[in-house]
Amino acid sequence: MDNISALMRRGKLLGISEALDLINDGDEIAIGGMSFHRNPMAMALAIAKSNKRDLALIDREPGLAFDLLTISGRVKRIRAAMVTFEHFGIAPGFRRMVENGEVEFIEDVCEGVMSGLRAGAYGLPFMPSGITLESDLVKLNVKRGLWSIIKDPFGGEELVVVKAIRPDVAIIHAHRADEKGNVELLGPKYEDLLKVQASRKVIVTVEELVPEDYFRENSERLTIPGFLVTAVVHAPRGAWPTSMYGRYGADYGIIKRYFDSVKAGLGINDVLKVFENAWDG
Amino acid sequence: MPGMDDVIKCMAQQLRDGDIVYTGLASAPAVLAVMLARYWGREITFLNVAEIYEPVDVSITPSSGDPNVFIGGRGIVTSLDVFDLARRGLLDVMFFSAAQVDRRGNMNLSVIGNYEKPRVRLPGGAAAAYLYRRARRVIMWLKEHSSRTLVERVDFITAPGPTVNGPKLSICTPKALFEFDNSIGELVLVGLLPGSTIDDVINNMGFRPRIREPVTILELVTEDEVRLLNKWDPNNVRSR
Repeated sequence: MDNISALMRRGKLLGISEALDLINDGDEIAIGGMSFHRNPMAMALAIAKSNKRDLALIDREPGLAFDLLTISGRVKRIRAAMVTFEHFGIAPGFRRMVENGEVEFIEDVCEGVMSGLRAGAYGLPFMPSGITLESDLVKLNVKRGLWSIIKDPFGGEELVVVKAIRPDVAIIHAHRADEKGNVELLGPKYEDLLKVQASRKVIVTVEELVPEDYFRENSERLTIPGFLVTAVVHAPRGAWPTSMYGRYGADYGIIKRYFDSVKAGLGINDVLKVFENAWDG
Repeated sequence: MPGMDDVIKCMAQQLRDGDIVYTGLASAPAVLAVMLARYWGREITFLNVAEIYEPVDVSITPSSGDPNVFIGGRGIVTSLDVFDLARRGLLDVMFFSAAQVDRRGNMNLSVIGNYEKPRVRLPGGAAAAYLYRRARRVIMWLKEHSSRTLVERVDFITAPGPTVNGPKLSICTPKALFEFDNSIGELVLVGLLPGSTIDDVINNMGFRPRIREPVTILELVTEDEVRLLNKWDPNNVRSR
């Protein structure tokens, strides 16, 4: 009820802790961005410090925010096509939690995540895909009930179809928004627009709030219309230490410190200290 | 001793005029191979996971998904669009590396050991169980030429090797170049880097490949090419 009254009072503009209230225990969350780029770090850090339970995460090629949440103790299941810290190595929290059996990992394929999000966004139950039938991943994900093999009704060839992905919440970091939830997102999009359409609630954190007439005066800049957005949170430098296209680069020094801390076996409270100076700059 | 720069040159030599190529995450060597082939004058349409279309220059960082790596692009082309292109059969080249690859060209980026209780949980295959079959040609690089990476049978088939219908698969290692013979379904040793011998190549892998005689001797990088690689990648991310 508090959330709804807050929305009524101030449009869709919420504080970060109010936005946190939109996330329920057990929710499946689609994380925006990719690798070390445009991750919704402000929200990820807030979730990591919260008392949420049994969350599930989904993304195609996630990086820092996803890995941090994986070791936060808030998450029980993750789904992705690749969880990498690229030239630093295998994502350290992911590796530790999955090898120890502390988090369940559903190994997907880029094509699987894209197809599932497309089905979710298109309002269809499943999507045909180009996933290779002979991959060992096919039997695993068929058994999990996420993929199935059907015959092309027009051509007769077998193909893998992917069940629609409908996350409970999508969390995306973007450049600008007004308080009605209209969003400007510049540069690479990854699958963020599909995540917005496929998810039941959408939280967008932004570098900059703009007045309501901004999009009337710059109508070509609208990327996501407000009716798709549940909440807007003002979070300047909210992707740090991941990059924000056109605004700031990735802070590889901090990312390396995170990598080394997790690899050394430090717990979440010690790892969180890496981010303590997040918004000083 | 040949090194990563020579592997990158081997990869670049697999590229052709007119190719539409895509590079993924953790792929600094692939980005550099594209740049080297362009330097040689090959016309290549360069798409990448950072979604920066047709960059004119690069400056390598620890992430090949970093939009700041790719300089002077003409706009954004999303990975969704590139994958659609590949599904229509129009993506010429995709680059991959792998933890293991076997005689049949099967590749593993999932686990070492048992899937449920892995000795090493690898990052996952990303686009492999799709583009490894859907690109027209696949160029793979291995940083290590050893019996750990070139195995008789992969621990897990993240993506199966090519079929009789394709794609064309080439594998560059610090010792050799392999090509997949689609008609017999096996990797064949076709090239050697200067300094390695056929015995050296075979004694350092987990299976005995067929050999296509005469084996080509590959070219090492020139001083000029090393200077360029260092300009594009001053912190030597490619060798990490």
